[in-house]
Amino acid sequence: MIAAFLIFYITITLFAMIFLGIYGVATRSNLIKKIIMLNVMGDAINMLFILIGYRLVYPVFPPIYEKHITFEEFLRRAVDPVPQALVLTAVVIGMAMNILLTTYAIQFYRLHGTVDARDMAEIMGGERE
Amino acid sequence: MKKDVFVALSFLIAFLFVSYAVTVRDVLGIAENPLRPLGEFYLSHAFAHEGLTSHSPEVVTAIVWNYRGFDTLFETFVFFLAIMGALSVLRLTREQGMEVRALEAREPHRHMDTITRTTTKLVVVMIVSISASIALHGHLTPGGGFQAGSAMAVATLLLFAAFSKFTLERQGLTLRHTISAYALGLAIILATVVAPVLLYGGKVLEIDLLPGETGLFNLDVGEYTAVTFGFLTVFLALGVPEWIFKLVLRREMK
Amino acid sequence: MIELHLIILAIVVSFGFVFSYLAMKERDLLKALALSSVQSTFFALGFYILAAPDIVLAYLAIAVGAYTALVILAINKTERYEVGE
Repeated sequence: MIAAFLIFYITITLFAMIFLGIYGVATRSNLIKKIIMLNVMGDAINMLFILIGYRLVYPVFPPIYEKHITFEEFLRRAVDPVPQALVLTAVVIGMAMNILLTTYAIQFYRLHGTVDARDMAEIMGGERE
Repeated sequence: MKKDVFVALSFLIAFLFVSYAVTVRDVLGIAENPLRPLGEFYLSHAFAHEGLTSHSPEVVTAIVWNYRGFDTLFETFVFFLAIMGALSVLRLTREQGMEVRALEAREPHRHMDTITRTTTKLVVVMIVSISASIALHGHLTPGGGFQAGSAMAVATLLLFAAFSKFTLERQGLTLRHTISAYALGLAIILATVVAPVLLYGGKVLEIDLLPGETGLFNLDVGEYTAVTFGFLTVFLALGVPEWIFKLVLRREMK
Repeated sequence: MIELHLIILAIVVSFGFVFSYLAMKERDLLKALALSSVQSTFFALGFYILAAPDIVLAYLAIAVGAYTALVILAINKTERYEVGE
């Protein structure tokens, strides 16, 4: 009962963080700030993924086989390894994407002297809202 | 600032009320979360001695490089494309590169004081040995190529901060060398991937045919090299001082 | 006993939410980055509680080390303060 309550609370908070990240990306005009908020969103999504694979048993084991544990015990108590394998690569690829985005922002600043999305629209021939 | 803290805390209290209202009515029956069949398959087969096994007690590494090896292979290529995209944005022609090098050589030789440098040397030795152990035991204990590579990236960043980038370049850590090392890591991965086809006539990435744990070990080492030198390459390219870059780019725009 | 772990996880995630909200409201980008790396540290703790040691190893090095250094480099090369409306 209390475990279900806590899991639900954690899930709602993580969803709120996802929407906070989307809100930050949409409303802040500085490109570096957009990258920071994009990372907040990515962290919350990764945490949700791992939470899906969690087991409500005690004690819970990480998905690594050890010699002194019987096989049935291991199957009953280990967490789901599939979300962890997905998130592991997502974290590293997310960092590579950060590097790419940051490089674009720096190069844009070098060429045009601004990292503000409103000035960017003007430079690119659009209208400043 | 104080008002913002109140706003955030009131959001949290609202979440608490919503979750209380939902769980007291017991809409969600999520206690006794059962294991999904896919996860159960991986858990029960990763270290079994017969059947579709990968001989690795570390189930996450077994999934990453053995069961879902193609996903990880193409994720390595995504990583490669991101790094190469960043490098091609920061590219310079041959003349510009020589000009940047000439300007950098005239830059004053700056580094931090002796205490910082000695501590950094000690910490970097520790991080390098830890990351090597993470990578080389990746198929036995928690860890693997991705984790060890990102730990190594932190060590190189510490070196950048304590000594300057120019000191490292004078010691022979130039962009050309790091890109070659990155290519070496990718070559280890590709060689391990196609080795079962050439040696045993199996399929691509069928690394169970290789003796013992050679397949997982080689792939972890290759990924370790690739991730380390991929990050290092971009940080070297980004480390050019801003005034030099602006000078060179302004001349190009004229 | 599983409730104890979940209570710690709930506290960690709540702190992560508060710090990411503060990071969004902050106009000084270096302070925003510091707040967001505090959030990353809390999340690393959360990943450990969720029995994912592989993720902790990769996430601590990336989100607290490499990512923070990269964004500090970017702020150093561009502007430090966010321009208001």
